[in-house]
Amino acid sequence: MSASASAAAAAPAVPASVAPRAGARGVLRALRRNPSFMVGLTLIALLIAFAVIGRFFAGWNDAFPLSAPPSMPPDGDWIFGTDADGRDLFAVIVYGTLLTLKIGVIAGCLGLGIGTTLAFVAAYHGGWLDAVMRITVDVLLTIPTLLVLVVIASVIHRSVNTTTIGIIIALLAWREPARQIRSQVLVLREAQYVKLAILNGASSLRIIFLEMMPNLLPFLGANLVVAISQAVLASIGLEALGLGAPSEPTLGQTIYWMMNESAFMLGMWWWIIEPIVILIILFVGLFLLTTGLDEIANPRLRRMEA
Amino acid sequence: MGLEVRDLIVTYRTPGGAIRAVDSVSFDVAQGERLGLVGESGSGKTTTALALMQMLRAPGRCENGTAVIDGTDLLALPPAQMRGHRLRTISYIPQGAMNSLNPVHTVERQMRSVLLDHGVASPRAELHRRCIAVLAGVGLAADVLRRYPHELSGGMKQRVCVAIGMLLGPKIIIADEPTSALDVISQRLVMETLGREQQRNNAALVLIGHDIGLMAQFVHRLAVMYAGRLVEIGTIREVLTRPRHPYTRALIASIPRLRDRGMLGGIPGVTPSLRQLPPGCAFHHRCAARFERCLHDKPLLDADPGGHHAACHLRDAA
Amino acid sequence: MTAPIIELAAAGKRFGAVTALRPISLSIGQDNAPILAVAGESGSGKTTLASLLLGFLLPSEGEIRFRGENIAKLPAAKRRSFRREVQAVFQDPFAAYNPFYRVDHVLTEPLHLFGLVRSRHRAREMMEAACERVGLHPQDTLGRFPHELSGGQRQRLMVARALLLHPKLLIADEPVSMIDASLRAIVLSSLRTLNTEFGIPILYITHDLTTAYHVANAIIVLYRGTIVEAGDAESVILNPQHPYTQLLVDSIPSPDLDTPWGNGRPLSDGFSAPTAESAGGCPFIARCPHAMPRCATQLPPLYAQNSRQAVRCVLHEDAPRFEEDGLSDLLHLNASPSKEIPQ
Repeated sequence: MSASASAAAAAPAVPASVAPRAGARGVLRALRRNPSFMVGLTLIALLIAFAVIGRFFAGWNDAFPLSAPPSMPPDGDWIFGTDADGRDLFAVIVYGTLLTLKIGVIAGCLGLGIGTTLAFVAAYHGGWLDAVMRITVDVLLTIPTLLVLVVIASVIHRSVNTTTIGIIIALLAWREPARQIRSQVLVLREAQYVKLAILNGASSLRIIFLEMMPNLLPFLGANLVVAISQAVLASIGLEALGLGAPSEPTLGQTIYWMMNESAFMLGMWWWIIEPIVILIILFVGLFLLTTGLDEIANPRLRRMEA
Repeated sequence: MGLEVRDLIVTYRTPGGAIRAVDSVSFDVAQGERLGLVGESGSGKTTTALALMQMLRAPGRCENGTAVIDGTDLLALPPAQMRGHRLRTISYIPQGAMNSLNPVHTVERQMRSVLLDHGVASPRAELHRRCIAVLAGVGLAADVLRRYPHELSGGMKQRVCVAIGMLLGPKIIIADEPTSALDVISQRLVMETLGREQQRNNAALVLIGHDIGLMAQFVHRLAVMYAGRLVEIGTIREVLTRPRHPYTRALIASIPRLRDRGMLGGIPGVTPSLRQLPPGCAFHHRCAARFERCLHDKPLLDADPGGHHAACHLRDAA
Repeated sequence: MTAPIIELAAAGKRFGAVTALRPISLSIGQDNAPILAVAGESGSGKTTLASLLLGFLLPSEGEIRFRGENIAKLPAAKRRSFRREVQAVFQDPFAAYNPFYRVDHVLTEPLHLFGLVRSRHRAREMMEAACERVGLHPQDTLGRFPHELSGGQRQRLMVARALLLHPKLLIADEPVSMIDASLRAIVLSSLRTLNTEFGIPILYITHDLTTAYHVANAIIVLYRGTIVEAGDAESVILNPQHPYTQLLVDSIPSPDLDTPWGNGRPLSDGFSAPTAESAGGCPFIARCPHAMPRCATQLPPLYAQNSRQAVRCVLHEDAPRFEEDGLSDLLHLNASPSKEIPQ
């Protein structure tokens, strides 16, 4: 690494009078200017809008078998076609998207909530509590997620529905956020403004919520989006293996039926493409959201404001 | 010979308008000469240095100016050519340089990569010998080559950075607050080695800082910057003993010395923000000697690069 | 005489094999209001001392006492008093501010937490008064974000915060070392105002002896965790007795062109290599121009060089020994009816 390159890294980028604004409004402004974030947000918003508006055009029952003539390609009455069991695929996609997102959000929020709480408590307290948590999380992280999920799901197969899938996934989803947030808290704990808050006589809770948390919001946001993405992926994995809730028409279940009922062999291209396209939009959207949030949270990646 | 800088202007484009971080700065540094550039944070000293190195980052832009050494205008060079000149012709030791050493490489590896980056195609043994020689020049033993940055003290790291800056024998060295994080003893060591190396290579040196005491002990000439403008320039003796600009006078008067205990002066008022520079002289709000003309007319520094000049309307009255 | 505000009772700190601070016994009372400078380079232990006094670190030996009680074992109510009465100004004028909030946050938080005001209106009044006291215009300062103010303004605001809280002891950890030289005077004046007008004792930690000369009444010089010299600030700085203090004073770059660096005394070669921990001897041995063989094994005690200075060096062994727990008296840290504070 040449000294001139290192010099560029060490020199201040802009004078203080031009530096980007801090505070809550500054974060929102930065988000609005971030292309990744905005495109990702648009994609997800479109998807949700599609699902929400679509509900007015398709009934819940149409997403179940025998509500339409089976194996019909897309045309006038059934614009997305129907599957081999007679489900109106338009209804399936609309409700499936909502259900899959629901699982993702439940699992993501629950996982993040558990992980954040444990991380803050352990990292702020330090000492033996932190050591115990660190070792526990490191060990648990080595356990392959899908394996555990498959085991649990197959054991309770009878009583599985979208909510329980969400909870099962949350049981493992907390590990990575816990690890990430713990390291952030360990760093923040040494910040001078935290030391100043201690001198103010502030309680630990006050310091965690008022001093540290606001500075972690973008980071937590990014972690939430990642958690949701991973939960969606895990749920699709489970469902595609046939371990999902057999009655609820989630996107993953649709893929399971699609595979199991020989959509490929029967040439029912519409049944194959539709759920996959929706999933691609979902994942690209979530990915761009994460990238955008990551750039805000990590100032070194932040693009210069013009 | 040496470096001749003329009418350097650097602006930053912001949503609120363009601000001039460096406003028509001109100065000369001869080979073997040390020029001090002194001013508060935000006065434009580092921006000037970065401009000369073509290291400004957006939204900063060099709008105007020439920086000529040996017939070459550094500011007019295309980026690829400028890369070749960096460290070879003109070298910059940044503030906090010791923190920019790569923590996972040994000192020798970092020095060697500098040499290799600049196309010094010598056998390994020759490079090794050269590194040892340069380290010795900054007063460090050869075994420092094997060390990692975290094994060295702040003063030693800073001296390694000085060594790296001098590795290719540049004609101009710009040292930006090279001792700001160091205690006085390490500071003295670093400055003495910097001075020795500079003399040995007969290089021109620009020392950027805010400590006039340090300048007094080290530089031959001193330039004072305020709000992006060069307000006074002259030999160190002239500027310290007969300052001609009110800001310089106030600055010198406010330096704490080991006498007159308890006398802590300061300059009343606040430096204007670069976004809201007053018309006329940037210093007039805080100047005890201001008069009518200072409020509208921006004073300019004499074009003659030698001699002792101040950008102040009082000189015409004097 | 009431119990001292803060007391180090043979308190020291080790990190593994490294001695960050050798045990010190010192007490700062509330009847005098001295400014005590603690001077040293990085690694001298001065920051460790501040962390111990603020309760951020636990001592490896001895105790830190607040009003006579061990701070590690204070009950909740007394702990609150400790936090209220022992305050600090930190070195980095940027890091002390939470970037998420406006700068008012550092003033409103303690006002609220310590229950110092009843109404928002009164809080605003007090904040504005404190700003003006340190030379800041409230309308230009309050309501801004930290990056909108200069380092000097931020640091003065920290002093304003100390003023608001009116602590019984202020620990100023290198408050001006990250500020431009030309702006230091005004921050230091505001600290001095706290001391002379409000009677708040200040522990001024620094590596800059010039500012210590102007601001402090008494001084302790630390080198690698050991007190090498202590006494009246003016005496120690203008007439240093310990080789390290002499080196420090000589190395101050003077703006006077006729006073060259080092006073003609060159720096010894011992600066090239990082020094290893010496085995029970004087820590300064590698750099000392007067080092003798016995300095390697023998750490000398403090000697009372005169009525105002104590020095830890074998060069002064003809002088009477000085007991370590007499430091507080030497430095006039407690009430002493017969002595006045040198102005």
